[in-house]
Amino acid sequence: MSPFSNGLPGVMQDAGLILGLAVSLMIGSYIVRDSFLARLGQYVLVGAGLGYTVVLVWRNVLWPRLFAPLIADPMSWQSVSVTGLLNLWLPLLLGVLMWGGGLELLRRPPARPGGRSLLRLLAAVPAAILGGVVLGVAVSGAVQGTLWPQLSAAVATADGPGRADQPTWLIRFLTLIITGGVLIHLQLGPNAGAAGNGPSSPGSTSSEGPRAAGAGRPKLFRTVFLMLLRLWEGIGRRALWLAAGIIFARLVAARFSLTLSRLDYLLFEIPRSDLWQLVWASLRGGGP
Amino acid sequence: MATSDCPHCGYGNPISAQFCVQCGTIIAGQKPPSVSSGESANEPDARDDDQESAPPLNGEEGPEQQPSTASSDPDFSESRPQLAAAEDETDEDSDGQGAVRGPSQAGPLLRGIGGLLEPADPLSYIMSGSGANEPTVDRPIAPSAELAADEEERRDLRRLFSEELPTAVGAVPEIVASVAEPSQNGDGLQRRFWLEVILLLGMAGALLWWAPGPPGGAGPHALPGLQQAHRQVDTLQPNSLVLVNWAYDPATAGEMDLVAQPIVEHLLQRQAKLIVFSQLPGGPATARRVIARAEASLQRPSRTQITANLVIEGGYLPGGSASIPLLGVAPARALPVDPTWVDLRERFRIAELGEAGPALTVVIAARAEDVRRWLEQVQPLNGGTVIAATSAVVDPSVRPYLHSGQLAGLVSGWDGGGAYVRRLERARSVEEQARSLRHAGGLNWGVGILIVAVLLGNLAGLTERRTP
Repeated sequence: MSPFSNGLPGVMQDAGLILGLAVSLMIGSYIVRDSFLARLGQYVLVGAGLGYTVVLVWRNVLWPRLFAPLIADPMSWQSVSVTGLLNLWLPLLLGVLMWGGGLELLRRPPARPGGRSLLRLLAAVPAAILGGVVLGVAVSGAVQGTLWPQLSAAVATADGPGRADQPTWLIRFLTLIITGGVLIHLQLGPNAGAAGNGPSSPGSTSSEGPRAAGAGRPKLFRTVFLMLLRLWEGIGRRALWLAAGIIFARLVAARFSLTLSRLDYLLFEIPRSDLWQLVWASLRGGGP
Repeated sequence: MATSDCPHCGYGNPISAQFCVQCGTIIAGQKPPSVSSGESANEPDARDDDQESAPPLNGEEGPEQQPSTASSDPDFSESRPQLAAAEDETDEDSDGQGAVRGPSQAGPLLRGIGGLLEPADPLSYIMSGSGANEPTVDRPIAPSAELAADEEERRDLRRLFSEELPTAVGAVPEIVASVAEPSQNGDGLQRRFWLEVILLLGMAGALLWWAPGPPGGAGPHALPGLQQAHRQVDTLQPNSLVLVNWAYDPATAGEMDLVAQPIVEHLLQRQAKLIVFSQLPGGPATARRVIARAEASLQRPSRTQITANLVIEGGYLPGGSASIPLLGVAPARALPVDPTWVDLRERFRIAELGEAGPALTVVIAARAEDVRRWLEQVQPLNGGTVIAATSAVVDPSVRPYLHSGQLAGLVSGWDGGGAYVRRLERARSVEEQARSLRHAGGLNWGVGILIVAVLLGNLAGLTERRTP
């Protein structure tokens, strides 16, 4: 048997089912109005979730990976290698510093000015290491995992052979039109191309806008240029809205699936449970 | 000792301090000290007499006075009686009959322990002065007609502080005009309750009474990527190592179970060796439940193979972005974290991950960030093949990774899970078929109601716009 096959006993599963029903109804009563039961259900859910997380962290990480090895060999720091020191004692030291900073926030303000600044300063060391690692990993990952591969894929799609029913020039043209249009919309806003309106982006430094830029040009040329710019921006704006619509449609599908799952659980799974059958039979007076 | 009050938290700092010892605000170059304990220490008795005979009214504090933590902390006040006395004396001397404290003259909104654990309550502070939030301060509270804000003022202030957009400097917010004025587009929000009720009733009615058509119809729509995902799993050799990143928990299980179970079932059919881990606390328990269901739905002899322990529980791997790259360079050090389930033989199998890498990685995620994080921080390190099973809403965000080749397959949403089940070439139980049909009916009714609501809303908007 795999560890995943070991479920709870049937009675416990039914009890969990009924408890889930009760909490679901409590939280679901929010749709009628914000009540004590709705709040209680949310608090129970959040509190139980936090408690479960604490137990899980202790059971999976802190005890087997840190405290158990340290307790098994408390003098390991004398003979352990550099790797062992980095794996056990350094995390313990950083953790203690972090916990000190956290506990410091819970106590009263010190009678002596400056008494808490030391703890706060020390707690900043592990926090800075953690933040630096996360930031470094995120930046390097974004470059090597998203920016460069996506750019390469876009170039390859535009340059590569198209399918039999998709000529290459069409793909290149659409890529240029949509990408450029979105960039124009994001940079200039919906007023792009409007005569007399300058750039609307907050970062713009031009004070006179296209009026000054096109002051010396023939009027016809300037009018055509602005019209094309407005047309291009409109294509980009509609492309953005199309993408937003697709995301919204998938969001609706996801949330409807969640709602249907809850409804299915309430309407079909609960009545099938043994405990519910027992309660129902008792209520009807027929006995189990 | 001369002190200088912090402009942010009000703490009395030494005059030579560059930063506030309470909150760290730069106070170098601030105003001269507001309080000198040396001056007040000469006449503590007079201060006591004044305080006994004329206790300061609620809020009757001078504009120069900043509510300091020292004065609000009983320990601090007890340890420095001269300083506390001097503050009170300075207050009474400066304001005389007690000037009304306005919002601009108010002290810090965040006080208490570091200013972080105690939420700011501007109303109570403005109404009752600096010690309003301090139950330990023994300060008599006397009603004042000038200071006691009535209910109307409370509403105005509450609205003022809940403004999302800051008021321009120097501008007076139009409180009165906008409080009573109904919003032009607020009716839609008021009708949200009825929209939600209709949606719920419609979907519940479809679940209960909608007569499903005969099975074998068109079925759920399969988006591009599903066929590739199926092929990747289908070509796995028995005992291939498959790393499963279980990135959803019970909050989204209602949808994600429908996507995850067919893929897990397929992996077990192929007798792949699954190493399941999660970076969410509720992930391992959710994985256990779904894998047990998938295991129960398998036909023999696949189920017999599972008894040979095809599944290794990697457990909960905390750390988020900081820890996940370890899976790319040294997975044996990152997994497993729960030694209860893992014996020595399986530890050797996990060690193989570091040498050859997984034959396939399956990211089952309800959020796009989890898929993206894996593709950005792990796949460039181990170069493994990755397929993703995601929520429907994640699909548009991760589909570019499918087009770029970083994802070898993508299954998303209830429809993706349903289409994958049809590819498993197994007879579905009656209960499973009924549930799928119920789900399809409820989804169709929900979408239909939403479309009608959107159409009616647009129609109403057009009609109202044309009405003068």
